Amino acid sequence: MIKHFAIGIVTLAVILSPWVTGGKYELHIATMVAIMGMLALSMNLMLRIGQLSMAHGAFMGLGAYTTALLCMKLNMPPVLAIVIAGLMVGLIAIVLGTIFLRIKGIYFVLLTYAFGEIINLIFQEWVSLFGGNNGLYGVPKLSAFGYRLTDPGTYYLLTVVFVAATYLLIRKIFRSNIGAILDSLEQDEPLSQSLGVNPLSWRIGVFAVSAMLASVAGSLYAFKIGFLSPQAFSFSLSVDLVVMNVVGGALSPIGPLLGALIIVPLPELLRSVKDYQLLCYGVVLLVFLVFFRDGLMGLIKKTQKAAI
Amino acid sequence: MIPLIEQIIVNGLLSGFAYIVMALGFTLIFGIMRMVNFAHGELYMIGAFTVLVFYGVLKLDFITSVILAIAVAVIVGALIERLLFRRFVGMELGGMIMSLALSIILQSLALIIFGPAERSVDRPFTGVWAIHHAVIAIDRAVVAMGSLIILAAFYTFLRYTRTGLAMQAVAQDRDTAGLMGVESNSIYLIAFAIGSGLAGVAGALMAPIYTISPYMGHLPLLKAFVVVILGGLGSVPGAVLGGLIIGLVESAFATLFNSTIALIASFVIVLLIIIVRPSGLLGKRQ
Amino acid sequence: MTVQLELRALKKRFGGLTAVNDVSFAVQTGEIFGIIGPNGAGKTTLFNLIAGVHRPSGGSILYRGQDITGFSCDAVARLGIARTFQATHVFKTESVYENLRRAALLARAYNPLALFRHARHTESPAQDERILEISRFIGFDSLLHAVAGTLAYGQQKVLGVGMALMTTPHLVLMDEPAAGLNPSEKRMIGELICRMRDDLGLDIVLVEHDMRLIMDICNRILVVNQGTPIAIGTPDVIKNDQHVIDAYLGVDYEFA
Repeated sequence: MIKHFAIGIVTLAVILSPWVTGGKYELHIATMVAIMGMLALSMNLMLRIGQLSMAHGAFMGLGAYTTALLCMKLNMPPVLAIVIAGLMVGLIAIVLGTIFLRIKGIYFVLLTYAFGEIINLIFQEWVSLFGGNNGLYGVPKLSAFGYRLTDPGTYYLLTVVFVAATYLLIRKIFRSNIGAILDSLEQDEPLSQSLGVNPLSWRIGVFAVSAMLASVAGSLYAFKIGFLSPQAFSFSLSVDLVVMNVVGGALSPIGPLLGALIIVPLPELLRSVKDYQLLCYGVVLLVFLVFFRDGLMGLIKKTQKAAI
Repeated sequence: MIPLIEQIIVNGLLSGFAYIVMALGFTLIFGIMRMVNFAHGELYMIGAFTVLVFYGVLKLDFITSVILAIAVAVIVGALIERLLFRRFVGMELGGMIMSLALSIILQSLALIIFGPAERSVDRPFTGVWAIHHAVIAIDRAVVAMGSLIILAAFYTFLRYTRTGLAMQAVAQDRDTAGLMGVESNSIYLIAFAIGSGLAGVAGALMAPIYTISPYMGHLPLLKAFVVVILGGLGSVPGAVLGGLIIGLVESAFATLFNSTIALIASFVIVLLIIIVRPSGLLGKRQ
Repeated sequence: MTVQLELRALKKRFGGLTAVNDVSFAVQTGEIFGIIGPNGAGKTTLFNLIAGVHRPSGGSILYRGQDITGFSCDAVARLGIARTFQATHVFKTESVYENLRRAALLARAYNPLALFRHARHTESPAQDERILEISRFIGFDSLLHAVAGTLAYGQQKVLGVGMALMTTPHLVLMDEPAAGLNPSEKRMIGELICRMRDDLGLDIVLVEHDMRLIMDICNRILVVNQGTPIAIGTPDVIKNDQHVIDAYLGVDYEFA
C-alpha cells in the first residue's frame, strides 16, 4: 500500500516538474512526450488485439492537417475542429478496416503500410491544400471558451490530461467486459463466433477508436507546433511508435508511455552522434526484440515476480 | 492515340518486369517462411550500391558488377536469415518488427558509409529502339530482358530441381516435407538467399536508371507490397500477374497524369480487388 | 409438432467435388435428430453448412420459417442456434465459472455501451444464478473454480455444451459430441443430451460416428453416403434398411 503511494507521488512529481520549473525547452520535450505517449497508446490498442498497424502516423497526420485546415480555412472553433477531425478519421478507419481486417494479420500490416505511404504522398503532392513539402504554416493556438492557450506550461498540462485520459480509457477497456470479449476473440475465435460475436465488427471498432485517439494526438500536435510538414507524419513515425511499444512493453498500457518517455528525448541526447542515431535505434529495437520481447514492463513484472 | 497507347503498354511491361523480380523475392520468402521482410527494400539498395562500387568506382564492366551484386545480396540474405530470421520462425509479428529493425540498421549503415547524397552511375547502354510507334530505351529493355532471364531461371529451378521441389514442399506443409527428409532449415536459408538475391539483382539492374541513395529501397518495397497484395501473398504466378498489372496501371496513369497519381491509382485498384477477393487474385483462400 | 429446422435440396461443391448433394430434411420440435454416415460421407460439411461456416452452393436452410441460407456463424448463433465442437473449445486459461459467464456475455455482445459499464468478473445476481443453474445441469457445480485447461478431455467437452446452453438457444447443433470419450463418458453425454431435450425443451441435431449412442438417443436418423442422403427414419427403420447396411458393408458395426 505504501509502495503504491510512493510510486504515485514520484510519478506525479515527475509529471509536474516541467510545469513547475517552467523551462521552455523542458516543457517542449515534455509536451512531445505526452503527445507521442498518447499516439503510442493508440497503436498499443491495436497490438493488444494482435494487429500491427503502420497507419497510425498517417492517422495522426490526417487529424493534424484536418484540424488545422478547419480552423484556418473555415474559422471553426478549435475544440469543434478536434472533434470533427477525430470523427472523420474514425470514419476513414471504419471504411479501411472493413477492407483490411477481413484477412490475415499480415495483409493488414502491408495494407496499413501502403496506406500510410499513400497519405504521406498526398500530403506532399497536394500543395494547394496541404502546403506540400514546405509545410502548412500559421496554425492558430488552441482556444476554448474565449481563452487562448499560449502559455506552454498550461498547454503541457492539457496534454497531460489527454494522455492520462487515454491511459485510463485503455486500462478500463481491457479490464471491462469489452476486454473479456477481445480476449475471447484472441484466445479462440471460432468459439467466440459460435457464441454470437462477429470478430470483424469488433476489430473494426477497436481500429476506429485507435485511429480517433491518434487523430486527437495529431490535433494537439498541430496546436502546439503551429506548423505541419509531411515529414512529421512519415513512415519513420510509425516505426518510432513500434519502437516505443517494444521497448516499453506492449502488454500493459504503461509500456508505451515508458517507451515514449525514453524514445522522444533520445534524438536530443544523441545529437552529437547524429549519424549514428538511426543505427542506435535499429540496434536497440533488435536487442529488445531478441532478448526482452515484453519490453521494460515485462522486465519489471518479472523482477516483481522474482522478488515474491 | 495509338502511339500513346503503345508507349504506355511498352513502358508498363518494362517496369512490370522489374516489379515482378522484386515482388517475387518478397513473396518467395513469405511463401516458404511465412515471414514479411521489411528489409527487402534494403537488399535492393545493397544491390544498387554494389554496382556503384564495382561499376561506378572500380570501373568493372556492368554485367560483372551485376553478378557481383547478386552474390553480395545472396550472402547478406543468407547471413541475416541464419542469424536473425531463423529465431522468429513461427512468430509472424515478431519477425516483421525485427525486419523493420533490420531495415533501419541497414539504411543507417549505408548512410554512415556512403553519406546521404544521391549518386548515379553512367548508363551502360545508350540509345533507343523503335518498335512500331513506341520508343524503348535500350537500358530499360536490358532490365526487362534481364528480368525475363531471371524469371525463367527461377521457374526452372522451382519446377525441375530437387531443391526447388523441396522448397515447394516446405511451403505447402513443413512437417510432411520433414517426414520426407526435407530439412526445413536449409530450405529456409536457400529461399531467403534467393529472395534476397532477387531484390539485389533488381536494384543492380535499376542502378543506372535512377539515382542511388540509402533511402532508395523505400519505394520499391512499397511497390512490391502492392504487387504482392494484388497477386496474393506467397503465390509465384500471383507476383507475375500482379507485377504486370501494376506496371501497366502505373504506366497509364503516370503518362496521363503524374507518378504520384499513378501510385495512388495502383493502391486504389488493389483495394477494390481486395474487397472482392481478399486473398488477392491468385492467393490462397482463407 | 412444428418444424424447427428445415433443409431443402441443400448442395455444396468444393471445386470439382460435391460434398453435399441434394439433402433435405425437417427437424421437429422436441427431437433429437442424428446424422450418420461412413467416413467422408459429407456429414461434417453438412453440419458446417447449417452452422454457418460454409455457404451452400444451392438449396436453402430455414429456421422457424426464416430463410437463414448463407448466414454467418455469429448470425446463426444470435437466432438461437447454438453449436458444440468436435474438438475441445474452451477458454483454457479461465475458470469454469468464467467460461460460462463469458459464453453468456458473448451471446449478448451486440450492445457495446452496456458492456463498458460492467467491470470484469462481477455479474448481476440474475446472471450469477443462471451460471449456477447451468453448471448444476451439466454436473459442474463443484468445479466452478477449476481452470478449464486442467479438466479432462471429456469434461472440457461437457463444459463446451454448458457454454452453448448459456446462450439460451432453442436448437443445439452438436458435432461428434462423443468423439474422444471413453464408454462411460459417452453414456453420460448421451444422458445429458436427452436431458437437454426433455428438461430444457431443446431441439438437437447431432452428427456422430458412434452407432450405439445414435441408436440409443435419437428420435430420427438421417444416413448420408458420399454427400447423398440414403435413408431417413427412426432407429428401428434405419437398422433394417438395406441401403444403409450396404453403405456400411465391410465395417464391423453392431446395429443391435
